[in-house]
Amino acid sequence: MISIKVLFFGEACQLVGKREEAIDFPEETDYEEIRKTILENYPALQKIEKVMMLAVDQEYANPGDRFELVRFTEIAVIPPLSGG
Amino acid sequence: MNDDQWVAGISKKDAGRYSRQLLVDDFGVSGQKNLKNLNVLIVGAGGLGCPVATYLGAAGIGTIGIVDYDHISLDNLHRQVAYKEDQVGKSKAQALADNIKLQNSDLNVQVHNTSLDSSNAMQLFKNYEIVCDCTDNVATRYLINDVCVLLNIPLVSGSALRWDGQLSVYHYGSDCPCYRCLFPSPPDPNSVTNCNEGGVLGPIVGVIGSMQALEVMKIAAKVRTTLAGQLLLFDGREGKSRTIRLRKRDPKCEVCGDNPTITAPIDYVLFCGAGAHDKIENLKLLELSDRVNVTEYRNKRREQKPVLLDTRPSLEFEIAHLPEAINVTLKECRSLSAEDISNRLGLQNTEHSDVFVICHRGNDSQRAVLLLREKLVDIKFRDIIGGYEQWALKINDMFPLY
Repeated sequence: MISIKVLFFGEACQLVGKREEAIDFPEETDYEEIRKTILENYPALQKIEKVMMLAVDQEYANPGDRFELVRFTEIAVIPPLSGG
Repeated sequence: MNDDQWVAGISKKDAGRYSRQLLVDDFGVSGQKNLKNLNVLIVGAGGLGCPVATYLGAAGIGTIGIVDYDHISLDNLHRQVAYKEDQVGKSKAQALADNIKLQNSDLNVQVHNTSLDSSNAMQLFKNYEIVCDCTDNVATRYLINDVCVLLNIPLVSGSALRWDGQLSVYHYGSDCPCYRCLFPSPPDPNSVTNCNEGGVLGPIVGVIGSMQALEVMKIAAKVRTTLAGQLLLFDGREGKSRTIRLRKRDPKCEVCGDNPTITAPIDYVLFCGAGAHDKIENLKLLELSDRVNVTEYRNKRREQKPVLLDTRPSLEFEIAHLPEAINVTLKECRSLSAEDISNRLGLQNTEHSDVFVICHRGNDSQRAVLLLREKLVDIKFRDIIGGYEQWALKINDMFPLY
């Protein structure tokens, strides 16, 4: 396992109550496992599950994508904003 | 040679007025000429629409269309900086058009003082080459996206809330995704926070709106490095921005995919389960016997000091509250034990069996009553219909409205 910084944007930050936190992931993993791990660690995020975009190292993560996580990998949880 | 002849790329008047942007490389005379021939539609004349219209108007866009059904209110002015106090109550679309025409009398401005919906959007958009989404709600965002794809118009989309902003250009180039490629299904309506509830700082919409105007100018000048296929996240609290590289267009997308199923605007209010505006909905979760109106509450407190639980976040409690109010937020009503809540309300050693619950407008107070009566079964909880807003309107007009 490796400890990876997860950033929470917008409503995700409101629901989790933090802007970032390090959580443990397997070093070799995929989109589905990252998503599941995040939702297990932060059940409050289920509220925005349908619109929760994930980015790994500032790149949009697609279902099925595989990742090798390293020390400085950054995962972002990004729901859309709709205000204006 | 004859000294009354010259070769001009641009008129003397425009050269004088726009010289400082003509001098910018990669923009120049051709960028200015393209701008002058461009028709841009701005949907939403709020916090984002004000800077977008102001900068594009100043830059010399040919035609600007402005769509908004709403009127200016006093609580808009902190962020909708194009409006003046004496314009409160006026149509936003008209006021914004008037203000940018004052700044640049060469502009052609089209005012669309109407609520954008599935029945009028195609007709309205078809005369424009770029659309700016400056709206405040999810249903309209999907509508704008779909119509832009159907008419093949690039969409410069901005949004903001609290300290955060987002910006992207959708449907610009064959690989570029649309909003629906990223968010095929809409959010749960109760997970969406709007500016009326969450608040927003003026400079946040200022930053995002200014950048939307810049993206329009880049598209006009055919600068390649637009935010198409990228999402800019602006975190005003940290002073940081990040750019996320987005997915490519989804071939299975319902509107821009290879076999689209959406070939005309759909019912977006039904699709999103939420209205096409950011106004507050009035929930009815409780029976009338579990509720009192503000007049009934006033009469009760004249007889005896009641126990009043105030569910608002502490920031709102600080703005103003009734002297007897005890702040236990909705979140705390959910998370605290029955004993803790009872202690906070000072119920242990009293004979109080009645507790009134108040919030800003009367929705969270009902949610709280539902939670509290499960936890403290001996207490009769009743909410105050319409909350502090009704108190200010009916009982004490000095009470601060926000």
